[in-house]
Amino acid sequence: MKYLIVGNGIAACGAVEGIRSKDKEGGITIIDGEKRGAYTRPLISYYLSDPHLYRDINYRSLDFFREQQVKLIPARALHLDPALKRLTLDDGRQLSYDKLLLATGSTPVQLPIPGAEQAWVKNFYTLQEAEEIQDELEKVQEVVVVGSGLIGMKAAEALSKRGCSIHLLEKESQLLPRQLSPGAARLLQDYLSRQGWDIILGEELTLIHPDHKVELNSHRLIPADLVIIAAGTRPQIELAQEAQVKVNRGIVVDSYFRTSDDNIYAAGDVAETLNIVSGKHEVMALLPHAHQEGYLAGCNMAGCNYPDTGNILMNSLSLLSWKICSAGALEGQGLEFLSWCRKEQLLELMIKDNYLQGYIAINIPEITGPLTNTIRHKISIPASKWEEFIAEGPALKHIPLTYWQELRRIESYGSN
Amino acid sequence: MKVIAIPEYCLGCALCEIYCAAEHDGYQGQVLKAFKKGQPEPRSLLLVNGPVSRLNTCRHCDDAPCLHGCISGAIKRDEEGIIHIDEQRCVLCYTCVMLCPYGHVHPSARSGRIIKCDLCRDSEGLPACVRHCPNGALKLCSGREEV
Repeated sequence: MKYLIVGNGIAACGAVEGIRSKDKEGGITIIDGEKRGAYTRPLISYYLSDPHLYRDINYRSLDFFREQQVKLIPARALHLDPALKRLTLDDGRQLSYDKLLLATGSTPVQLPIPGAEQAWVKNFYTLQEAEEIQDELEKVQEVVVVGSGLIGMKAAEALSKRGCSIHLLEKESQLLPRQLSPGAARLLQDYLSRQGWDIILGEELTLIHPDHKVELNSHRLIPADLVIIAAGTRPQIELAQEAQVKVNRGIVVDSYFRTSDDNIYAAGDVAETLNIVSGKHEVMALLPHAHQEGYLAGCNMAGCNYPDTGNILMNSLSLLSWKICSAGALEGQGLEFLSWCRKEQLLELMIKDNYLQGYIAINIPEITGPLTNTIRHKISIPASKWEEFIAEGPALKHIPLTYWQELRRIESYGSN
Repeated sequence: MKVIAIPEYCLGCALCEIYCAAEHDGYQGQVLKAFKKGQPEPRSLLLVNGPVSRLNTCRHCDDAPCLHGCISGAIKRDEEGIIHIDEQRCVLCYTCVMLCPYGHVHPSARSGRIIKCDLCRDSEGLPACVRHCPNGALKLCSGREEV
């Protein structure tokens, strides 16, 4: 059996582990388009904050690939021919496969802003981009970060730790619009403002002047030695599209991660998988999911039938000294909201018909594990129990008893 | 392999926490030294809710969410199946904390670093909590045994 994996990120590593759990013999080849090995993308902000401490951000080492007998090819995949089961690379090489995994991940969304082509305007998505910023950092004081999603926030944090002045621009009316409620975002905004960040909400960048200034739609001008565009990401579906593999926003897969072509699988940021809360297939570009999906896809490519049971949106963001966790659905019809706030701690629960649908927890991480899993396993707990949980001061020992009883019944974890 | 807590036998005395703390961070089980001179931190915490108590310890899950979710490769499983943390690699993102169904993988209240049960893998014999439980409420089991 010949396995070919396009992409060398988290899902690819998961797939290698999945394939090798079933098939010790088959040949595995990985096409590493970035040519930097398997590194953890979210760690590039840690690298930038302290390049010496975080010089090694490999997710899996070269030893791992050697032990798993994986051939790594540093090249880009250009063209996929499902009929001939053949992949063409940018160095002209052609590779054949029996089973192929598209683990091509996502790519930053580009904004059509005049001046964005200048060298001091960058995305913050690859290790190379982080290194380029590091190399130029001596000349940088004023930084404009466009977008207050996870990537923008972590870029801003790293650069503030390096002594830069941060101007954070968000076109919506709050920070972290996908991760936080308006109230939680205000609490965070106050904290970041106290740390000296200049936070600008409800404005967009309209022009990047060559003389190191950016202009907003209110015509305000901000000095900038460096502009980071972090306006979201999109799945890299071009290879699949061209090969007539079915795509929506991401690549469409069944619960075994098979695409519309029986010999082509997809996993990680590029695939649309089941969101347990919404009941829909969505792109949920999150690292923990990428590993798990890659692993299952790998097992299935090697002949297993392990279905995906779906996942939920979740994020844990460490920002300066704050710990921000959120998961599930934060808004929607018929949601009941419970909230608790004390000084710099906040907890919001979103409940619908006895089911926890989402939560936001600021600086109270120790209770989030059971909350995440209440959502993920659809454990029915009435809102009144959550009211009691909050009234007593949210703590692990006050998690409703039903949760622990149900967890024991599920037993899918502690079965070793 | 994991430590099983039997709530019916648990007296809530918290000796498990004390010996857990003394077994880690180089105190080598010396309770007096740990508590008089050091800053001991139990890996597993006793959960007390009214009359019910039990030690909230790690199951070292087969399909471990913390292990899948670790972004830096700091969470590892050793050849005995024990899930442990390589502190050199941990970046304190807390993803493991929000994934652990048991709420066991948690930040230290003192330092913020992630701590969890490692079944006392650096010392000989049974885990300290099991050895010192006065009422047999903790036992080490290796199979699918559950209570």
